[in-house]
Parts: sequence; structure tokens; C-alpha cells
Amino acid sequence: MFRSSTESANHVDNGNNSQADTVLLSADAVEMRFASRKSLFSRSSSSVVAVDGVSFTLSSGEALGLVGESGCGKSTLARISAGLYKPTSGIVRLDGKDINSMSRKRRKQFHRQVQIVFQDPFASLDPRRSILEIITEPLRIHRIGNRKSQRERAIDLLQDVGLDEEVLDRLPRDFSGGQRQRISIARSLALEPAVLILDEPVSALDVSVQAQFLNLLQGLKERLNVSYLLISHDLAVVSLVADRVAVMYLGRIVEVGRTEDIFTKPTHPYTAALISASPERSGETGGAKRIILEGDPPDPANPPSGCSFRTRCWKAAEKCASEKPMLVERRDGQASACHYPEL
Amino acid sequence: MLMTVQDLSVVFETDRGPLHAVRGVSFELEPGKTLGIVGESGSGKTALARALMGIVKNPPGRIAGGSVLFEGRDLVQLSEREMEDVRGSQIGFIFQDPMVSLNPVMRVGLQVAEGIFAHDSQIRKEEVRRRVLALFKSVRLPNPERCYSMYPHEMSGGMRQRVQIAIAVANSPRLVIADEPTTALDVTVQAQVLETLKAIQTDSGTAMIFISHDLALMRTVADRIIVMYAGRIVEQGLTNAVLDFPSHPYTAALLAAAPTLKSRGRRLSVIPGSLPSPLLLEDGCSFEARCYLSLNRAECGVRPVLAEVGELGSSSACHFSKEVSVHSTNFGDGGEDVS
Repeated sequence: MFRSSTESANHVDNGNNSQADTVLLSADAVEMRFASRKSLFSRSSSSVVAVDGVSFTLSSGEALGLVGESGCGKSTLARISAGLYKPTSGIVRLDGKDINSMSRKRRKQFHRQVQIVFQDPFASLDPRRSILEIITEPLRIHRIGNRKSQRERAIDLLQDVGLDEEVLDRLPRDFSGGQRQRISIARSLALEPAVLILDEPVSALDVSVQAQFLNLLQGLKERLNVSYLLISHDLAVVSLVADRVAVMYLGRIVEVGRTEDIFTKPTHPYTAALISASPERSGETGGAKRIILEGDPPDPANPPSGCSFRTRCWKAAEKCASEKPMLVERRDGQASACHYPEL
Repeated sequence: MLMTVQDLSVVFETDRGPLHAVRGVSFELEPGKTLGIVGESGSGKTALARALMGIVKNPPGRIAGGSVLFEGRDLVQLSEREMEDVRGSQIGFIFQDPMVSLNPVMRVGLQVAEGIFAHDSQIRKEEVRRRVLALFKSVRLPNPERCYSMYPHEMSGGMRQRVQIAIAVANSPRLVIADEPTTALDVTVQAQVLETLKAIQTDSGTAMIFISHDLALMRTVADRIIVMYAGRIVEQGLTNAVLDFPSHPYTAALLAAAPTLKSRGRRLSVIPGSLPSPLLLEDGCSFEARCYLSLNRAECGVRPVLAEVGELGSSSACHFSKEVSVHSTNFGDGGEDVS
């Protein structure tokens, strides 16, 4: 079901009717501004719009990929979705309830259901705590079980992520990046969350380690029916795991749709450029023309008028400078925000 | 040959004994060509690059053996003064993070000018400025005049990397060594910077050694590639030959482990286990414990030498290189594998 609503410039619904009623997590016209003072001595402050009216839905058991380059707002959106930032405007809902106007008790419940895993496995684990303490911390915070049952749960979780119980008493420094990332996942699964938000989970890992971790993610999704919001700059990683993909550029979703559609039939020029710029392992380039964009992404503090991609777009025309394109459905479940889409 | 590396070894002294980072590496580089060096962390690719640049920190590191012949001279034997002269004039460098290699409190134009002055003290100031602006134009920095007086922090990552390229090629070197030059950049910016590097290479006939962890990237930059594992070259050959028809199980496994835009929903092949300790000098093949071809075969107890295999001209250091294929690396569902 797709609504091209006027009040929320950037709204995307799940394209699949059968899943539409099982929406778990949703964002509605979410906007995030960060105040930035121009200089140390000037009082005048401006603000940077990191996320500019983004809407999405995540259904139960679904993996939604969020791709984009640095500064596009994908990590901010991840943190908003995890309840770590309160958006300047717009609403994030879990099971239909606004997560930012919940009672304390409800809020705690929310954090049980939505967990986030960060990029750097060296920074996200407390170096002085044993693996047992790290994994069972969420259980202790939520007062679930006793010491014995918590330990048993930790062993099960380690098994889920392919680690042996003998690691329980060791410290994070004994583990490689890939193993630490498994430990992070084990901890995030401790409370049996419905949604796992993964912020660049593999970009610190070597290819061979990354492969094991991606297989693990796929296996867990099938086994535990957990939903993923997977943030990555690596298109190949997203295409492997995600059912649907949203492409972000300068704080907005410029294209969203089913993974196969996005990667084989992109309708937004930026999506096409991203795909073209990603080095492919296989030689078959399919004869597609190589797109090399001009210039750098614009400064989010000083975004261009109209379409924010127009400064680098080969299709840009007058209309693009004057009118901000809305997300419009192009095919079943695939929408893009462009005045001159590729169809 | 522009550069001939013979049996080069780099050792770092540690508390736990000598760490053998590079173990007898040999290769040749023709003028104007690009050689890619790929490997994962711990493969020794960066230690090798630093050895070629003559910047292995001593102590704890030292070049334990071998030679690097560059235009008739052995760089390993040169004094620090002589090496300084080679660096910047005959060999240019590009590092991963321009924020570290550029001087943060100096205008970037002057940093490029400095490199030109250092190797030609007679040159007139206006001439240097003119050359810097021309360089900025050739690396496609927008508005060269304005860029000249900018500080590094005022530029984007892509622009800073272009400044580094300008510094590297300022004195028209015969060779540029680039260590992960685009790893810190976004993909669309990476594509631009690679395009610029290639254009400069075509114009000036500069050879390049391009070091990266990204096998796929090599297809767009390198004529030949070297795949490193545990300090040694395990495979080398023409880029397309190595990537399409790998002849070492490690190369094949790496290729199969990387997701592509077409691998949706598939399980990736994994490489079980981890790198052997760099403190050990093993007798047999260093990949044996992780290899899907070794199967406890006795041959693997003897270290394989890099030898030419097949009609494609690739060399492989494997006793069973004939059995290697991209499709033979399936280790099943590696998700439950303990690394």
C-alpha cells in the first residue's frame, strides 16, 4: 500500500499488502535538526537538518536496508529509530505507539523490543567486563531471571552466534573484531528483541570475517523471526540481507523498493550512480554505462534549493532547482523522488 | 623493468620475538603499468608498501633481507639522505588518510609548492605557483585558485585526497605508491578519485603500485595483481585472470566470501579459522589449516613455491592449484562456524 501524502513529503509504505497490517516499527515524517553555532564568538546559530522528513515502515520478520553515503543521515535515523535521539518533529511508532510519549515503564519495554548494534566492536564492549557480564547486562537491567538462569541464557546466546561457552569468563581484548561483533549481537539478542537495528555492522571487518557474520545475520533472521533495520554504505552487503532497500541522500529517502527492483531497475539517478560506482567482483558489468558523478555531496548546513541531488545530477533542469521532488510510486512498491525518473 | 623486488623480508622485533611481516616477496613492475597488491589485515601488504617507500620504522622494524631495484639502484642499500631524494621526485606516495599526511596548519597550495621546491631550489616562485595551479587542474580540484589558499580542514575528503595526488605527482615521478587511497572515501567519490588517478597515469605514463583490501576494486585499477597471505605472495597474474580464474584456494575463497549485488539471500562461503601467528615460521603451506583443498594431504606439509600455472600466465603458491575454482569453495552454512 502506497500513500503519496502531501503532509509528509517523504512517505513510504510497505508495498506488500499482506504485510501492511503487521507493521512493527514505523517513522512518520521524522525530522532531526542539530544546532550548530557558526563560530566560537558569534552568537548567531544555524541548524543542520540531518534527517529531513523521512517516513518508513518495518514489518515483522522483514529486513529493511538503509544505504547512502557519509552525511546522508542514515546513522541519525538509526539512532532515532532506536529511541536514542528524540526527533525534532515527526513520530516514531512501535506497534502503533509513539515511542517518545511513552511512560517510563512503557519506554523500558520499548528498549527491550528494539536493540541497536554499532559499527565498532572495539568501542562498544566494556573492556573491563567479562563476556558473561556483558551479555547478561540487559537481563540484569530488566531484572530477568537469577544468576544461574542468566548464565544459561548467555550460553544459549553464545551458541546462537557461533561461540563456545568457554569464552564466558574472558575479556573483550581476547577477541578479534569478528568475534566481538558476534558478542555484540549475542548481547542485543538477550532480551529477545523484535527489531535489531544494525548500524554498519560489518564495515570494520575483513572480507572473510564479514562473510561469516553476514551468514549469521541471515540465519538468525530465519530462526528468530527478528526484523532488521540494516544501515550500510556497502550496497552488496545490503543487497544480500535486505528484503527492501531505502536509499538516502542528504537527509531524505530518494528511492525505496524491493531489493531486486532497486538494484536491477533503479529509477532515481542517484541510485543508478551508487550502483555504478560500487566495485563488482564479477566481471559482468552488463554493458551498463559507468556513471561518474561530478563534485562532492553538498553541505547539509547549506543544502541546495529544490532537489538536493541536482548539483551532481546529469539530468538536472530548471524544475529541479525550484521544486522539491516528492516520493512517487513508479512501480509496485518502488517509489522515488525525482522529476525525471528513469523508467 | 622499472622496479624489481627480490626476496624482500620485513621483520618487527616484539616482546614475544621477531614478527615476520613480509616473508620473501619478489615481483616486477613494468613502466607505466599498475600493480595491485591485495590482502586482508595481517597479510603484510602495508609493511611491504612501507618497505618499498623506505619508511619502515627502525626500531622495531627492519628490512631483514632482499633487494628493491628501482631504475638500477637498490633502494634497500640507500642512505636516508639518498632515499629522501628518491621519495617525492622519483617515487610519489598517496596514503589512506589525507587528514594525517597533510599539514593541518599550512595552506594546501604551499604544501604542494614545498614538494616542488624541495627537489628544485632554483625554481622561481611564480613558476611554482603556476605549476601548482596546473596540478590542481589536472587532479580536477574545482576552482584551483581558491583551493590554493585553503587549509585541509576546509576541504572534503575527496578534495583532500586530490591534493595528496597532486603532491604525489608534482615532480612527475616514474612511480606512485598508493596505500588504500580510496578506502576512507564514499563510493561515488571513490569512483571520481580513481578516474582522476587513471587519467593522470595515462597522461604522464607513471607506473603505480595500488594497495587495497578490496579485490573488486582491482578490476578497475590494476593491470596485474598480487594476492598476499601471511606475509607471502600466494598468487599473482593479470587482474582479470586472477579474479575470473583464481589459481590459489585463498583467492578463490576470498572471491566467494564477498557479497555482490547479485548474491541476495545466498549464504556466502566462509574461510574457517584465522591467520597463523606472524611470530611463527611454519614449514608447510601457511594456508593449509584453513584450506578446503588440503584435506590432510602430505604435500601441504612442504611449503609451496610460487610457480606459473595454466595458460593464463598466473602464478600460484599451491600444490593443488589445478583443483582450484571459484565454485569449489563452498564450505556450507558458515554461520555457525566458530572463528
